[in-house]
Order: sequence, then C-alpha cells, then structure tokens
Amino acid sequence: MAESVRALPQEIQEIIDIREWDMRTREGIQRFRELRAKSLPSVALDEELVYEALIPGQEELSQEILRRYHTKRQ
Amino acid sequence: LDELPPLLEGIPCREGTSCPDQLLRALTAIRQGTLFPAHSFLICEDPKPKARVGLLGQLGGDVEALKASLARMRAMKVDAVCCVGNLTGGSQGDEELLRLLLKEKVLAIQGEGDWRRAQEPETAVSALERDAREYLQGLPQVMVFRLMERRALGFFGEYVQALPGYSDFEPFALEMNMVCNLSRFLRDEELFPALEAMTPQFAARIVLFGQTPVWRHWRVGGVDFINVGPARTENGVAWGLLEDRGGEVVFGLQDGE
Repeated sequence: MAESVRALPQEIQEIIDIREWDMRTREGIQRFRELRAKSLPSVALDEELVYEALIPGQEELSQEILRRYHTKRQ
Repeated sequence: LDELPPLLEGIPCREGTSCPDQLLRALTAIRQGTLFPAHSFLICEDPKPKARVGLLGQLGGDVEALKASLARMRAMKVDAVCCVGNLTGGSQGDEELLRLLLKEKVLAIQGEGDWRRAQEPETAVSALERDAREYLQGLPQVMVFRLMERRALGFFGEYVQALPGYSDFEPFALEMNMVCNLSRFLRDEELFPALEAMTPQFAARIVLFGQTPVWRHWRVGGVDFINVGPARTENGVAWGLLEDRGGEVVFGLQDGE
C-alpha cells in the first residue's frame, strides 16, 4: 500500500505528506483505532478514512487527493 | 557488514521505527560486539508435542480449586497443565498453592498480581516464605508449548507490555499487541478483519490470555484465541481442556461441582 502511494505522480507528491504506520507496533494500532479503521490496508486523507481493505488505483487516488486539495484552496 | 553501513549513513528515521539510522546503529553494535537481544519478559518453552492440555486461570491462591481441577484433569488424561496467572491472590493459600504447582509440574507463568507480589521486599507484611517466593520470582511471564503441530503462546495480559524494555519487535510481541491493543482482548469484534489480516505474521497458532475474567474461544484468521477465565464460575470449579483431535483444535470449558 505504501509503495503505491509513494509511486504517485510527482505533482501529487508535491502537495501531500505521506505518513505510514506499522500495525505491528502499539503506536500504529493506536493510530488505526483513532481513525476508526476496521480493515487493512487503509488509507486516510486529511484525518478521514477514505479507503479500507483495498488499494485504490493511482488515478482514483490522485483524483481524490486533487479534489480535496482544490476544495481546501477555494 | 562492511559494505552496508556507508550506504545507510545519513538516511533519517521517518517514524521512530525500523529505519536505516537504527539499522546502522545495530550493525555498528554488532561489529563492536555490544548488541544483545532485548529481553523484557522471560519465556518458558516446552517443545514436547502434546495432544491434551488442561488450562487454568485466576487461581488466586484457591488451593481447593486447584486440587479439584488437577484431579479431573488426571482423570481425563491430560498431557500437561498450564496456568496463565494469577496464581496468587494475597490469601493464606498462596504458599501451599505455589508448592502444589511446583510439585505437580504445572507450566505456570506470572499474572500481573503475581509479578507485583514477586517484586515485594522480603520484609513486606504479605511477603511469601522463601521457597514459595523464589518459585514465584523465577516464573516467566510468557509460555510457549506445542499442541501437536501447532505452537501455542500463553501470557496473562497487558502488564507484560509495561515491563522495562518491552519492544514491539520481541518474539510474540505481535500476538500480544494484537490481543491487548488491537482487539482489546477480542472484545472488539468489528476489528476482527484487521486482526485476521495480521495473523499470517503470527509465530503462534494458539494464543492464550488471562487478564479478562471470562472463558471464551475464538478462531480468527486460522488462529485459536482462548481467554482463560477464572478457576471458579457460577457452576463451580472451572478449567479448560485444549485438545488436538485429528489436527483440529478443540476447546471446551469444564466447570461444575
């Protein structure tokens, strides 16, 4: 999952910060619970759980990031 | 060891976990002979495969419950008896119970109460006599045994995570973190999909824990989780029978007078 996020196009990479939590650790589990996630892998954008138990395609993920980015800039 | 360190130098840690700078420190320590395994908790391992195992929990110094359970276990021809704590409960029966566990070769570990008891100074009012105290102090916090082909792990609960030096990457820490933190002792069933996703990384296929005072069995992601409950229920003396029947794990609560 992290690799697919890191492989996003450069213009997307420039507008996001990526954080990855290791579910083997108590810190990772705590973050997982804070986000109210239920399944793995999960992707949250702006503290909101958006994808659960699936890896979105690059295009879908890019569009969702851009949509949120433009909404925030309005 | 010679080629890797220069490649790792200067790569920062991202999340304070398994990152290149920490790997570099470990490699350097290996070369200097100063890297030692972290052991925040003690593990006792019984490698001999067993087909039938009797489970005990929350004895709390209840000698009569222990005697009654052991008699029934013998009648049902168990290969071993395991107790995941608490063994003691601050009662007058604690010393006799500890001696009986030792005599009967029960595979026992410290529960949180036992661990606290073992830390008490000899001069404490509730301090145990020397032999019982030494036995309790010498007990590990984690047990590992084999139910035929499967490796079983037993621990009491989250106090193990609070032991000095506990690391999320110690042997069996994954299983303990999943039980204590992710599923909150298997009570958060809505998180079972995440638990199931993590079980392929488990080193144990059976996980016993005793912190929460109920008897219950779950199978998630091919792993059998057993909450080892108290030594007495409303029906009387209680113990668990864990069996391998033709390669299948079967668990049954045995309770009643």
